[in-house]
Amino acid sequence: MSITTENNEKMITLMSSDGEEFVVEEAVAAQSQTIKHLIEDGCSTEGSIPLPNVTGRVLSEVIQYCKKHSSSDDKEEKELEAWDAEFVKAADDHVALTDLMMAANFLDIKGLLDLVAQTLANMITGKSPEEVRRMWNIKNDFTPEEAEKVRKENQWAFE
Amino acid sequence: MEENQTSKKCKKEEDNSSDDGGGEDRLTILPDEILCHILSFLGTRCAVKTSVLSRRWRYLWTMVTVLHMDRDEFLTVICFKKFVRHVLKKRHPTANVDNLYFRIHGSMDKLITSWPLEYAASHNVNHLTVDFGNHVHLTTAEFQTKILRPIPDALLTSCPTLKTLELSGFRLPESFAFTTVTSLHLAACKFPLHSDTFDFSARFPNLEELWLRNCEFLRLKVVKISGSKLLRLHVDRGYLDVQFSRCNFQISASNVTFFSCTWATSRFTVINLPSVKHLLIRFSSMHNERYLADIAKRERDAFLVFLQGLSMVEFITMSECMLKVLMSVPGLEHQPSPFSSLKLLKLIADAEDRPVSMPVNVKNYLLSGSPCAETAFVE
Repeated sequence: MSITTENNEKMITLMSSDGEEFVVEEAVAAQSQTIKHLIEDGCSTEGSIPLPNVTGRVLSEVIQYCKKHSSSDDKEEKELEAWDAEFVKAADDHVALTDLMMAANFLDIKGLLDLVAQTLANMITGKSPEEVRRMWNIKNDFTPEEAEKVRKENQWAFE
Repeated sequence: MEENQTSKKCKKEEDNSSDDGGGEDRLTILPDEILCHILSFLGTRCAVKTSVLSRRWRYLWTMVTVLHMDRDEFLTVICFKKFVRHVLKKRHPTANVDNLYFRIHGSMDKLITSWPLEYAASHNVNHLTVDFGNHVHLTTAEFQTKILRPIPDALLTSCPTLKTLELSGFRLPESFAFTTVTSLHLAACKFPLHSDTFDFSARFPNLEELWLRNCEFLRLKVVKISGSKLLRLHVDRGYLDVQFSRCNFQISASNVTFFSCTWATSRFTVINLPSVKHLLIRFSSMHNERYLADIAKRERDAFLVFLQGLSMVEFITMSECMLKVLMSVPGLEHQPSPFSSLKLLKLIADAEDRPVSMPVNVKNYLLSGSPCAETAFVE
């Protein structure tokens, strides 16, 4: 379904995996390369664009990001950076960040993908393997012999 | 509206945590390529260290397409060398290097400096940043030749994928061309010894962005910067200031929209940048009041010509001392304003303790041709 607003801005409707509908400006949605290609292929002319991999909760956050980044051509870079920092802070923990990462990957939004990847990478920096495992619930499935071997073969990174 | 969304979000998160029993490794749902993308934001050393986390993580680092290797992360050169050798040897054979950042300083043997560059060149590198430090201030020619490294042949001859090139502390060879590079940053680099002219468009015909910082142009007479693809240009002052260098810049690029320069404008004998919208101009060596009058006298005619070459500019940021150069122009009030579309003039104060003052004739000269122009002062 494509509607045109007073500003002559074309609107399109996105539908999340749990059936929530979001009406957004085409320019905002087209920050997602995936959606952009769907629009170019004519998928937005009838009904809404279904996004089977993204829940409504995550999609609303993604749209927030896209809105900010599509309307900020002339804005100071610093202001945008501060906004990004607040945005990932609001995502709160790595569970929400992981969801956001999956969505950014599926929707192909490079800026968001990099932002979240950077945030997750910052969470690792300076932490011991034990701390990283605890933080991300990674199960150490090495046998003691294997663990010893891995440590030995990469010893040069720990020196 | 905002509040509703927030409360809904909290509720859903609670649902999630009760669903998965609170103990699931959320990162395991991410495919390898995304985990590698996360690792690419860590330095390579830190990425290798994740190999001990679990079986899944053991070899992930070998497929990361960003290599970030910094001598400063290691206690000794020997440790760093060992690290570089192992990383290059153990990486997955099919993994490309999209981005290489490599930094060392001080003297180091030739092998360690060329390995990573040769590796990157043969693995389809797109973005290359190599920082060999800043040695242009060293005076004896011999020492410079020893420390300043030439660009490895592997990069010069077979790197068809290279788009971004940032070099610091290199000696540029006599003849070379990077035809694929669109963004070039050169810092503390030394230009070829045996020619009078260096023409960027001949060596880098597809440049869209060019940064020059603290480079040594001493033996050159002319540096030519041109090309219709060029969009952004930064020219920062060279090592050893104007009095020692005879080098002139000839800049003629019809599509450049951003131009930043921190060099004496008398160095720019040709300025033809009709599309520049953003201009940033500073002249750092003019803080000294003693020399100010002399420099202003030398620079003022060139500065007027310089500004005339930038007639379409909309945003200017300039240091206060540039106003003093204009102030010293005899009969400035009879000069027409070079600009007609100026929107904002930002002035940077030279000293923190006193405000910038702009004499009336300078203000008229800069602003009278642009009806909508505003002025702002920054510290």
